[in-house]
Amino acid sequence: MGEHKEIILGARGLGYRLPREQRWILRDLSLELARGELCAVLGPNGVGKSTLLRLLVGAQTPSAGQVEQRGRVGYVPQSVHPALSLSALEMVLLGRAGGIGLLGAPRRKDYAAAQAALERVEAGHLASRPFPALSGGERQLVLMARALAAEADILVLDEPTAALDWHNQALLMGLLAELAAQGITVLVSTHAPQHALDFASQALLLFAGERHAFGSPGQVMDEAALSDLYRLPVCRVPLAAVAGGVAAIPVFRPPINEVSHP
Amino acid sequence: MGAHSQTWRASAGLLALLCLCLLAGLSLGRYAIAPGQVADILLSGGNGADPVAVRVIEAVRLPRVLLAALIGAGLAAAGAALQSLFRNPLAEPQLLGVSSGAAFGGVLAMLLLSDGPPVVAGALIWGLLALLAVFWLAGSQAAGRTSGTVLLILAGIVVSGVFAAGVSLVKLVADPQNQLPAIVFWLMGSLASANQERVLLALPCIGLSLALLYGLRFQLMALSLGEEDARSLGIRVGRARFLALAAVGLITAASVAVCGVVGWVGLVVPHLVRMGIGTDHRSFLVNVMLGGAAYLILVDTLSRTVAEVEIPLGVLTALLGAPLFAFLVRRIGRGLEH
Repeated sequence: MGEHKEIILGARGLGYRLPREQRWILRDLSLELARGELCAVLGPNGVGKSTLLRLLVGAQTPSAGQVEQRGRVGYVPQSVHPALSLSALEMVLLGRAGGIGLLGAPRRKDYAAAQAALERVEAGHLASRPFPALSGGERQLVLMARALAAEADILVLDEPTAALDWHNQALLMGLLAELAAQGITVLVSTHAPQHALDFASQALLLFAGERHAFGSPGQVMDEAALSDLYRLPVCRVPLAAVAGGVAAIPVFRPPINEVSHP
Repeated sequence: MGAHSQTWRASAGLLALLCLCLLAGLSLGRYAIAPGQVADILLSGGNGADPVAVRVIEAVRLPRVLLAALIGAGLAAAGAALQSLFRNPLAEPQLLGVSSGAAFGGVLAMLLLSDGPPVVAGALIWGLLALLAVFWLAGSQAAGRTSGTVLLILAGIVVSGVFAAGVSLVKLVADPQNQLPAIVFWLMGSLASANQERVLLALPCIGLSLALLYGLRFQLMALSLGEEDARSLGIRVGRARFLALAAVGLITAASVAVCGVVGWVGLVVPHLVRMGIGTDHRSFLVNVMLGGAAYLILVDTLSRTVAEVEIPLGVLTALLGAPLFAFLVRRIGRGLEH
């Protein structure tokens, strides 16, 4: 790519390993995302997706390399475990923390923004429910609302659709695409390659803590790459009849140990 | 925001309860004074009232209930803050080691100097030294790393252990005829020596700390999600935690300085408020303070009225607090099961 683009979220030579351990969880990872890009991070369990995301949002300090952020970052972790009870609305309000001083408290406009964020993920009715009492999917929607309430320029989401039903998966991924269209840079990890094919402008394929491929989903997510990544035959079929595009379909049927590993 | 006005309504109710407790604390005792007369003395300054009653109220009971209210509010809020900070519903002010440090300072002053003001000063100073020791032991790591909370708790345990040993050592060398009984009694906690000076000492220490904790209420809620999540939300974890711990330490040291070691308040009151009223962060700390003040006035009044001799306050807070907490634990346990 010859043209100059402004990098909103980037990483250069990013690496992470636990103190006093030799094994690198993540190693020499570079990526660049421009304004309004939606990047899906794919990879099998334990390859370092969550670690990458935590490094990108600054929740953890990298052992090597640098992170570059231009703008405020909103982060949706896989899960949050409050030690004490708080309401769903309060959880969303915490998304506003970046704009609230050390001794400050949320104001009326913060409450309004939090409620609006909840409505946007169709979860307005959960506002006064205690967060710990919500179901897994409801919690994910609330955490998504929390990131929306932050009015961030960059959104980083760790498997936000893992506990969602199909409707809410479509709702959430559609919302992310909409936000990207508005100029927000989105990085989302997922175990659903289809989400990447349907919504993402970039796909990052991670394997064993390293970058396996990075580029437009249509190109890098071919059958060979996906079969490699998931150690399972994957075929791509055209979806002309419904919505255009392609579907990536895993072949689960043959027992996994009979498949020759790439 | 219906739920909001509801929690503030609860605060108004707690305030009314606190006033009732104040009135009860002022009128009950060996020299009973009718509540009407108490109100009269408070409002009119005692013109034409029974001079003994005026003297009892002004010199003895008023400082005592005010001190009870301050310490009750302080310890309860300190407990609530630590429960958020340490993400543990079982945290209470004694966990930090400040209480042991202050206890050591108090008994050391009794051994080397005398009862009274030296004990207050010794407890306050050693309590704050213990707080510094905790910060130093936990190290600069506590400011930023993910394991900061654990380090702080471990440091608290170490400091607590060292000073508890120090207290035992002082007891060992104290004169068993005069000093030892005084030391043992002081350690059990009592408001019997409350006076105006002690109120004036505790008021700025505890008042300022309470104001600081109230200011930090939103940060405390964020910290209860854990350091990593709080940091990703843009919370300056190290700074917020340092300020909250300083406030908790000052409250604890000042409490031990003026009334000895009083436990359980910081554990029981926040849970009572959570169960009975709710956790809305806007009013929660205020409710905890009001509830703590009312609770300690009530317990202190009991301590000097239920028996011929005064029961030490710390004994009674434990005697009442432990079963109350056992009851709460059963309910918390049921709440955790889903």
